[in-house]
Amino acid sequence: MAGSILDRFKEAVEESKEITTDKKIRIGIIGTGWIAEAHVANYLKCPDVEIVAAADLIPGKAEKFCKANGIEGVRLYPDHKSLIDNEQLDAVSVCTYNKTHAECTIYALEHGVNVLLEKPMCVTLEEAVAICKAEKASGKILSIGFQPRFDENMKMIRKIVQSGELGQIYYIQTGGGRRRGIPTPYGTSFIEEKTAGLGALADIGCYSLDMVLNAIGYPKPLSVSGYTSAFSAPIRITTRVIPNTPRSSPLTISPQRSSASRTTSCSTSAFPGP
Amino acid sequence: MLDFRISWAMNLDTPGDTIILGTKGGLRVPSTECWNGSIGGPLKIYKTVAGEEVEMEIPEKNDDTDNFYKKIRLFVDAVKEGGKAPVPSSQILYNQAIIDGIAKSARLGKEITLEIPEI
Repeated sequence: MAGSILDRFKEAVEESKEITTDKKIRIGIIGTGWIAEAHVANYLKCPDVEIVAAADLIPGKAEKFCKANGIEGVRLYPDHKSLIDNEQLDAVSVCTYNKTHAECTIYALEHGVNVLLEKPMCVTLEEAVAICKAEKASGKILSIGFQPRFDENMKMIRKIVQSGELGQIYYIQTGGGRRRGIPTPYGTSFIEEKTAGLGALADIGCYSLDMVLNAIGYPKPLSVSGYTSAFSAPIRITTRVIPNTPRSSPLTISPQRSSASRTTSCSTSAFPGP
Repeated sequence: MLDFRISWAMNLDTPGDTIILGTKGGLRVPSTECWNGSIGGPLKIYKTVAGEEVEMEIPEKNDDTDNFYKKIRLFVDAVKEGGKAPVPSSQILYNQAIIDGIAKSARLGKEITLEIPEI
């Protein structure tokens, strides 16, 4: 009797799901660079996952990566097509540089493989539409890698807006930036047009946009006015990006003025009004 | 109206907090670099209560959540159970449309209308 009365005052606690291991999900890693390390490390925490294969365009890179990240012995392939064609996969993580996000994702979906696609989704709107169409036609699952969605503070921002506490939203200002944080974790794939396609706008801009757009329910945007710039700054080539961390003996190079790697972007976007 | 700025390198510490303005209240999200799902301090709501201008602080939640693990775990759950994608492409399509629009608008030197087809 007392127990059921007290039950009303107990906070509802989310029960964590029990993980069943009778069926193991077979994963392939496409692109064995910086972010793939985090994918592998977290897949290894899942007892119902088996990483069976990895692919990378650069000869020898996948092998080195697998040895260094605790998955030595998985089958290795020189590209996404041979990996998908030769393996029975349930899903792939697409961790390549931006320019190949679309082709790897579409190929996987078309061949019946679920995809976890790293951000940014791709480089152009045309590619994004092609990816969405491939997903719809395939009936498979495509999730985009925005991990801040799972943060309790990020969730709170959306809860506050969705609660109606602020009324109707009519103006948002957002963004972010680093004082010196041009990413060069392994060479230049983040900052060259031929691999990245877009600069800060897609690399970190997508996160701010996602935070506020998710809060207001992702209305369809109507128009955009934008500006980009790429003024040169010395780049420290390090093995990891740790922005604003002083280094005692930085290896510093002054880059050529890059026509495509935009470091700063500003914009205003209009949405359907009240 | 969404006013947005982002930079890898700038002569500034922060381009400013995130501000969400509504007809009944405003929300300030203290700024960070923005990529890792953190906030730079407690959220603040600005409202009028019984005629008084008030500020309400929402305590910062400091749990041990590993967001990256959750991203992987929830994707695996969806694959196993045939569920929905944790972060659906239909939303990120609009994210990409804005990014693409900024790049196009910057090249053209003027505002552009976004043409996003139905999927």
